[in-house]
Amino acid sequence: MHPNLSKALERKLKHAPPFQSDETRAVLGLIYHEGAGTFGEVQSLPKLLSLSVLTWSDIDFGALAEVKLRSFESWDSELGSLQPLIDHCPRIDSIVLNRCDVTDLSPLLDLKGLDRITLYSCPLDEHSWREVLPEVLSRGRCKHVGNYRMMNEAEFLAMRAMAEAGVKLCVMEDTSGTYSVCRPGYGHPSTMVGFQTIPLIRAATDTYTGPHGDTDAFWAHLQQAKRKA
Amino acid sequence: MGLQKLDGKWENMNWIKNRFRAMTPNHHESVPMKQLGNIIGSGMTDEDSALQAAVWIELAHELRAPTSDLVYQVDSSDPFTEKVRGYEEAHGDLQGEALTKKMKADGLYADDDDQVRGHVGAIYIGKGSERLSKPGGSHNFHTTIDGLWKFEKKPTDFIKDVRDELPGLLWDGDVKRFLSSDKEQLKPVADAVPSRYHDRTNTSWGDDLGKVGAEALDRRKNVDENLQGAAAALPS
Repeated sequence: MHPNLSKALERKLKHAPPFQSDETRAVLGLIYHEGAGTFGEVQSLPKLLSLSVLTWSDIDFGALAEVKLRSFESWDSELGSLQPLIDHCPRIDSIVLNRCDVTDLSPLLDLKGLDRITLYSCPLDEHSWREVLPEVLSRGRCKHVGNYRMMNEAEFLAMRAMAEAGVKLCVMEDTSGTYSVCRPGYGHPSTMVGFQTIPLIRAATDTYTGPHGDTDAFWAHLQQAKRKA
Repeated sequence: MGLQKLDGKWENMNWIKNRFRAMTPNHHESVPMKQLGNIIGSGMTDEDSALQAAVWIELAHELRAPTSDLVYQVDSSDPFTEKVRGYEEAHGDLQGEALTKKMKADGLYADDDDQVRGHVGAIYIGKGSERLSKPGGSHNFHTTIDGLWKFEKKPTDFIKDVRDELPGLLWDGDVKRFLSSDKEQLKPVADAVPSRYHDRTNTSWGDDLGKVGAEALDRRKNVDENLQGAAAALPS
């Protein structure tokens, strides 16, 4: 068994391996937390309907080819394109994207049965934010659900400004009304930099003069700007 | 006793309800139990209604979530959150263990913490030698779910509506949402707050707020999976 699957099963079943087949056959959902790559042999879980991926890098959707997934949830992860997920799992009716590096939502248009979407703090491209998302939400019974409001225009624009510097970072308002820039993926030394306002984030972005697309350099610049602020 | 005689006999309905609930103690039923008499009574009118009633009763049995899985959305307006945040701002020069030490020295502890709440039976917190339940928010949870049920409704629609509401009712465990700032600061706040959270079985939820959030997410997923599994088992 792949160690990523073993770790997820251990969390789900609340005990260390080995796992009995009657246990794994009954599993409806799994949470993958802090890791990278493949989900392992999930085709061996015949009832699997729901998958959550938290703080993950270099995601590999290939393992989902034989899984009839209905719910997908991802936080703080490097997902890249959603297309492989949608290709493998066209019956998904619920999707959560929270602080992930997703830019293109157009694959969601292929999910005819999408009932609920939770979208927080993803660096969407202009087309996805202005056209695809409204179209998805205007369909049938699809609605935005969650503990917090959907990402807003100010957050979108701040993330776009950073995207122009070639980095995919996420901007999130916290419950006190201040903002954090978050870095999707696993293994970074620090994952959040807090600012009091979005204009402070924009100002930090505007003063970046480092290499285009160098996330580490941009991140160091943000931390320095935070200290100055 | 004929079923028609149930009508208005609240003591009989309560007896049925209590027997039904006693099959799985310490669980919350998503199909409102106060409607059990209504379901039985409505099922007596014709054959279609009888079938509908049978489906509701079967579903009521399937849709049972352990009360320990019902952790409600964190109240971000909670005074303790404000207190911690204000403290962090007032001591901006301190980080990591230094901040923790200062908070502890100043008595910023969890005794008045009410951030994380749940259904009766969901969350307990140690206070000295005492073990205190941390209930709160149940009225909103129950009235929201109860308001979604109607006898005539398609059961699949009821499940969908409940699943639509759950993300706003049960906490997703996202601690970044109310701690802000750098990840290093999760630990000091955590040390001051929830390490003593545990559930009905006295199992610790972990020694920092991140672990408490992860546990809350696991529990919310359990509730949703219960609903999802029941929906998948219903005839389409």
